[in-house]
Amino acid sequence: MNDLTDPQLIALAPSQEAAFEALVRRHAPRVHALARQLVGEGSADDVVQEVFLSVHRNLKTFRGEAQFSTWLHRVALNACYGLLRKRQPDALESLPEPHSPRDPVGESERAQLRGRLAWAMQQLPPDQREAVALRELSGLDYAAIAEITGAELGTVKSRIARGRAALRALLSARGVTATG
Amino acid sequence: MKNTEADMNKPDIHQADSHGSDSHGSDISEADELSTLFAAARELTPADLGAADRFLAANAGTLGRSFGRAGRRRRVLRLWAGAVLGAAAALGGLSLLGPSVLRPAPADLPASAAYSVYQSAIGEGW
Repeated sequence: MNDLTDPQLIALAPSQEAAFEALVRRHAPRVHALARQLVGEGSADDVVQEVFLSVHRNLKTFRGEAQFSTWLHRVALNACYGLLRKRQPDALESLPEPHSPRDPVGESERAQLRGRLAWAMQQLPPDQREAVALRELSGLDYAAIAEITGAELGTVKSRIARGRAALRALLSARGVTATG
Repeated sequence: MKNTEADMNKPDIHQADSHGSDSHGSDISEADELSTLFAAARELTPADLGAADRFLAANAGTLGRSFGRAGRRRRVLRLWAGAVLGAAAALGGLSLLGPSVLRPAPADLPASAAYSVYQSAIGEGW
């Protein structure tokens, strides 16, 4: 199944569990990574759960006009917004910190930087946060982001630029640099 | 140099900076630093990589029942289709072989009295 394309898997997935599993294994890591930045590590699994159950329910109605990944990101964003409406996002203080200051530049430091970036992302207005996340974390191009968010191309670019500027200010105020 | 649309769509996250002011003099004054942070954030963590397994394990029952129902529906449909096709084939066969299958083979016709008279008078083969 792993060598099949997304459209081929989508055609099989409503009736074949193995095809659906292949779709989940292919896309769940990226959905989780996006959700981790938007709603926090502790709730990312809830988003993955909601996204792929929704995919399972609606695969038969997916007509293929849009790319599957575009549709998936739309579903993922909706799931994130639904979750954020229910509760406040994780505070920076609740994010994991390195256990030892003597740790070399490694996973713990990267986790700390990711945590601070996630906190800064959560301070952005929702429209900037989603545009920046889709561009910088999911690697989508501007056209795909415009399609997902329903905004004009110029608006998308503007939101990303303003979001990045705000992130720089937020992180600088916390004394965060890329080198730790 | 003027940016083209293709340039704008390149996955170069420095591009967005051309639209916004960089007036925040700070520790993160270089676009490279923010880009480095995003690059670190894009790296998949062990939690990201395990997301599929956790989802599939948590929903094994639901998914199994769902796909099981779909499988049962397909099997029932296949049975019905087989039965209908079998019945159609049987009816078609009967209609083709009907004269020989549905009706008994005709017995020899009884000789008529006139035939007997001719045969006795003229002989065989008249």
